[in-house]
Amino acid sequence: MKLSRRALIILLLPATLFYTVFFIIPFFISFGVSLGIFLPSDVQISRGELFTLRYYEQVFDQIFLRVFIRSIALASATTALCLLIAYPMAYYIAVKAARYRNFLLLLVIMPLWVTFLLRAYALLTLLGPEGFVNGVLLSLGIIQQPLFLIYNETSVLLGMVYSYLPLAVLPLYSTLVRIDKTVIEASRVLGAGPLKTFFKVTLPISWPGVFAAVLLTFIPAAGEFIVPSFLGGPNEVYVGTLIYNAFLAARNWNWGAAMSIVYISVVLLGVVLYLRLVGEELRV
Amino acid sequence: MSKAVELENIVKKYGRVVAVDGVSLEVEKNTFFSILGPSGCGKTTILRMIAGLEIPDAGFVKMDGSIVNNVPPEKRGVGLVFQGTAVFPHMNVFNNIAYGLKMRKMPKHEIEERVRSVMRLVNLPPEVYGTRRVDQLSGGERQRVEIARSLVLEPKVLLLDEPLGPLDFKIRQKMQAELKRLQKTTATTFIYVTHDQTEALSLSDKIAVMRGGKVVQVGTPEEIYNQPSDKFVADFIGESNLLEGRVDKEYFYVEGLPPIALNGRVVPSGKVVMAIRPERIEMLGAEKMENHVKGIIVDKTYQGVYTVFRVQLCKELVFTVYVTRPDVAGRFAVGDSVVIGWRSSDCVLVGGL
Repeated sequence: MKLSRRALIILLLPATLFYTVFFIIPFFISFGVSLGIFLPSDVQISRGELFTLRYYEQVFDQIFLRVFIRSIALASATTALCLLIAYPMAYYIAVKAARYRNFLLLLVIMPLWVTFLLRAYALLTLLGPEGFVNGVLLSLGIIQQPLFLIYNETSVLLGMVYSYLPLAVLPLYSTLVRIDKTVIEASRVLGAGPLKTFFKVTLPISWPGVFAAVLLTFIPAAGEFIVPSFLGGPNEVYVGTLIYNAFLAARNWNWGAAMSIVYISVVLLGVVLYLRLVGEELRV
Repeated sequence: MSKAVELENIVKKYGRVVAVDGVSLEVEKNTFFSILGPSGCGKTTILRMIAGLEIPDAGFVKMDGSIVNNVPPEKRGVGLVFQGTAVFPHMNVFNNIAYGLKMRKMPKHEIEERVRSVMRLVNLPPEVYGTRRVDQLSGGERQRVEIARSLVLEPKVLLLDEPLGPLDFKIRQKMQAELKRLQKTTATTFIYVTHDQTEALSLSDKIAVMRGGKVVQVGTPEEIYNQPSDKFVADFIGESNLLEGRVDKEYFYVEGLPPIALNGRVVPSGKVVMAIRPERIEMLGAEKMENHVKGIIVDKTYQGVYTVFRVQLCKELVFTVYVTRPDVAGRFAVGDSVVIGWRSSDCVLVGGL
């Protein structure tokens, strides 16, 4: 279908306006702040600099770099775990559970109805020293002292996987459900057992879903700030928390903006490379 | 000689629904065998059980004389062709066809050779189609990829599940001829499931007609068409004028009609159903025929090859008559009174009441 120019403008106008006001303009303001063009710091004013790269120099500090790498690693681990759990789940819902498909999907997206914040709190109380898990273990006599289950990397990862699992299930489900059953049966009749059929047919056909699931979990996970700050406690620092602290605790907007820009660029670069290398292969 | 496929009292249920209800069939080697029936009659389920995709609840599936009920599909050595929907979307044509050979771990050069020769066999020249992606293929071409993919493995039995269903009339005809040719040249047993009686009649050496999970008649196309074993077959295969009445000695009595002469044909006395094919009924010079009846034309529909007349004979009885010759059809119009006639030998007994 070919749309006229006018129809295109009318259709895209609301989105364009929205993103201009709430994304593009703020993005350039942040970029300006990170260079000290807007909100110059006192040091900058006293030296009479119109713009400066000093805030970026602050970003490329040893400690901060380590936090960056940790964040990427956390996002990667989250994505990998989500995929490992989501794939069999999506496969089951799409291929095996024909009759209960919609009900199961509903269960998958149900957690998304509850705000993120609340879910993080829920996990906190579940895993805390006086939480449900410790309570059960204690009352069963399996442990004498409450285990320290929160405020460490594992609890952060757990919270992340818990939060992003639905986002991985949905795209996987939508590609798996579209696979014609006869394709899989044909593979069997042609001499491939169930396992071979999975690796030679089902999995390759579902690569676009895997691809989308990776994007949908990795990007938000990379910038995640609520889960690490709730379940990670003060010792588990990730980029999200760092940026948050820069803006609200240290009140150093230039520094926070510079970190945001660097992190966005890193993630964006990764995504572009990923789209180029993997996406092209899959022709998605 | 052992049969290619034998089914013995096969039963398959889905929950409370009995899809296949005690079917026994024998399929001779190197023949074109069709299973014909309306949708939901269980024909596809039978095919799937032969392929190993379903396991019968009772009865035996035998191939080459041995029971294969619990042999998984990948070990049965049969080919299965769907409607062109089952090509692997992530592989090109060559890899689709090579799939089964790769599973058998055949050396590369041999795969190459066999795929190329089978591609030529199904009219997909390897130079043109080898690297083509399947989403660039037409329905007929996908169909041929599926057929080639099975044939390359030289299966003893090739199962085809309404393979020409989604194709246009012209391509269908072409593919039908091609399938027949393939069956002959490859000397493979074809088991062909279809709801299209013309297809079954023109392609098959033998046809099994199914209804409601049961086989109603097995026979050559001529037998099925000319001596349908019951009302259902007579009506399902082509069109038939069915007459319910009573046989007494030399005559068949139907309410509202003059007695129909049987002219020496041995028909058991009692209540029976007879069928007369619409194309066997004459509208010109019918007065001189052994059996003729007066009627009024109530409908006339032009169909290209022939014109269909509906002739009301009495209150409850309307006959369908095909007239092939346009000059004859042109003489009659709706509302005309007409005499129709048929030979006694064209009146086929299709069962008791």
